[in-house]
Amino acid sequence: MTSDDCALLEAFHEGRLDEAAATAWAAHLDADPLLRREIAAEVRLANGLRALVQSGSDQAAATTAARRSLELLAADSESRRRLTVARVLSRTRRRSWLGRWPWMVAAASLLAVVLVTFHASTTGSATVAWCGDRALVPGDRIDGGQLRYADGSRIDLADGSRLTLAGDGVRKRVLLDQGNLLAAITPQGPAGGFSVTTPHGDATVVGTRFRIQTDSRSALLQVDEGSVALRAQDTSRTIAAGGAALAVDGQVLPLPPPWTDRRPIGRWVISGTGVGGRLSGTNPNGWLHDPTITGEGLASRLAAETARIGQLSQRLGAQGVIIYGIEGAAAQLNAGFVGDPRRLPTLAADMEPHADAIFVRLRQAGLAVGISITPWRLVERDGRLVQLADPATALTELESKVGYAQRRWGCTLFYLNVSSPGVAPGHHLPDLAVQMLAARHPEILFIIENATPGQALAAAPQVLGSGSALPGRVCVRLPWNGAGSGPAAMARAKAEGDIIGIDMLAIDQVNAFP
Amino acid sequence: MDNELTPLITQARAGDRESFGRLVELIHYELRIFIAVRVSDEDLVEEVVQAALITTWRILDRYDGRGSFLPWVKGIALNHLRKQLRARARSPVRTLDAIFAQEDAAALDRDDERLDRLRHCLDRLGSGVRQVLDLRYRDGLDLASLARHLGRSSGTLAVQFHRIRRTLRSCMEEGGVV
Repeated sequence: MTSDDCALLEAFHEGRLDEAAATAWAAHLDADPLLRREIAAEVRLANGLRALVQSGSDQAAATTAARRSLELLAADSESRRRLTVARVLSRTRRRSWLGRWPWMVAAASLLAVVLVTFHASTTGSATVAWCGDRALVPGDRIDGGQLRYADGSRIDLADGSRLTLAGDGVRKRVLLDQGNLLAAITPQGPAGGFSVTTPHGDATVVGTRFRIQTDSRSALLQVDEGSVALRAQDTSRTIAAGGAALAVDGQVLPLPPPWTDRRPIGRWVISGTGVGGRLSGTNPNGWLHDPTITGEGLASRLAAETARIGQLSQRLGAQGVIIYGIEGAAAQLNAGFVGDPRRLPTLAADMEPHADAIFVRLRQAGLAVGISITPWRLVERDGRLVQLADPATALTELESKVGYAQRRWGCTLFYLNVSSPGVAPGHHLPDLAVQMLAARHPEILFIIENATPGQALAAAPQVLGSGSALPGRVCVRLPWNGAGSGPAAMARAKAEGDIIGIDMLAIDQVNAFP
Repeated sequence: MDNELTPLITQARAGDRESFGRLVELIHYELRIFIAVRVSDEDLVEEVVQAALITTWRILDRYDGRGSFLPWVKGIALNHLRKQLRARARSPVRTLDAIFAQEDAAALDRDDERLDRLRHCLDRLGSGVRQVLDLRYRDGLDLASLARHLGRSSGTLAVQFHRIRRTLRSCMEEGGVV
């Protein structure tokens, strides 16, 4: 069988082979018995597949068939009755052949009407939905706009999005080729249903309101009302109202729900250049911002400061403490916060023997612990360490750093520092990286700098001062940083249930916490 | 299933069309695919199924209860199918309908377990292949739309469907081993 035969077979199966092509192909097959036999077998199999993969509990089709059978029975009985009457009448009085004809025509017409109606409704050319005034049939493609079904279900397709219509008015199906849609589906009966197929997964609903968007890598589902089943290859999860899930790499990953612990989080910047803005020879990593600290005194100073931070955090009723700059300040001049705990042995050899004790003491105080990390790779350029912003490796970098900190220190809080010196504006952390990271670690709170709406679905955005939070998700607000900072921002944070971030080295912030 | 059908058959025999309608609902799916796997023309499937159901109604009193009801109806459907195929094959014009009808008639009695083997072989396909089949055969998506959705050319997709069907046919011929 050639590729031309394959294409002709598909066209024949769809009923769109024109007369000329059909005649030519028939002549070709007539001359080749082996090919004829093979193609006939394939067409039979295609018919069988079509019948078989349609739902085995297709009650709507069965009910329709029953109704048509009864209509045909009625027409059949009527025509048989009339023919019987006609025969009886013809015995009793002479009737012309034309005299009998009207009865037979009427009966045949009724049968013909029933059969034509039956045929037309099974050829699949009926309107399934509308977009504006345009009536749509399966196979029609829509670029943006609103799709409406007869039962009131509707789909809003965002600009730049593309959808192909499938299914029928009862079993509604659409293929989301690209972009995103918002669906409001009226409750469907047992024979009906609504499903959205994306290149990465299918969502099936019975009656609900949800959004789904797809790109080259994944499909993201958010459910506003009801519940939606999201299926990708062999995995399927049902997502309830308020939930969200990703279909990516053949898996369905539910996104974690909003973080429920709204207690404040202490922020401890453990290294820096201090007041003078320079690093000293005795404390090249700027531990505790004190240039006078020497190597021998570092352990005791760290222990004392850790105890103090722990006590303050307990007084605040904090849920935990995030440590910034655990890798030391030496590399910060060029790279900003290094955000890579794996570099501790090389960048902060002086901290390496003491780091574990810090986290242990904080956890013994009943506090969750965390660090700041970046999604970028630290590379050496011209003798200096800089952050290389590469979206393609962001998720891998984050997973490795999170895994290290989790294993070594039991960290369950992470601040994702996205902007760094040397990272060009416009380089951003891919939404999918944050969503997959959060889905794989529902036990961890990820706080995102400059979060996008897509990232806010999976993690907590950091908001400065009186800034607006993204709707629907909890944020971590720093009321004393950025525009509109101060008591009003603190009050807004409390009123809106934000998690408040407190600089543990700024005692006025600690004291101002209500 | 016969337990569910027996009271309906009894009532239908007494002239109760609603009961017959309920019978049709219960057996329609199986009857339809029984014919569909044997026929190249989908319109002919509908014609034969409906004709079989009409005949079943007419001769319902001949069903003596020995053997299951559904195979009895399938036998009626097969007779209708044979008649239709013979009539089409006899057409003096060698249309595709006539050509396929001749081949279908020749293959008709060859394999009674074809449908069970097809079900089994379908279950053994990978989920990705199964999804594509669902889009094509369950959702009725035409080749061009499906190719566009999958990011392939129509020609490539047509060949891929041929390969899938060839795999299924090999499986069916080997008794269900993929």
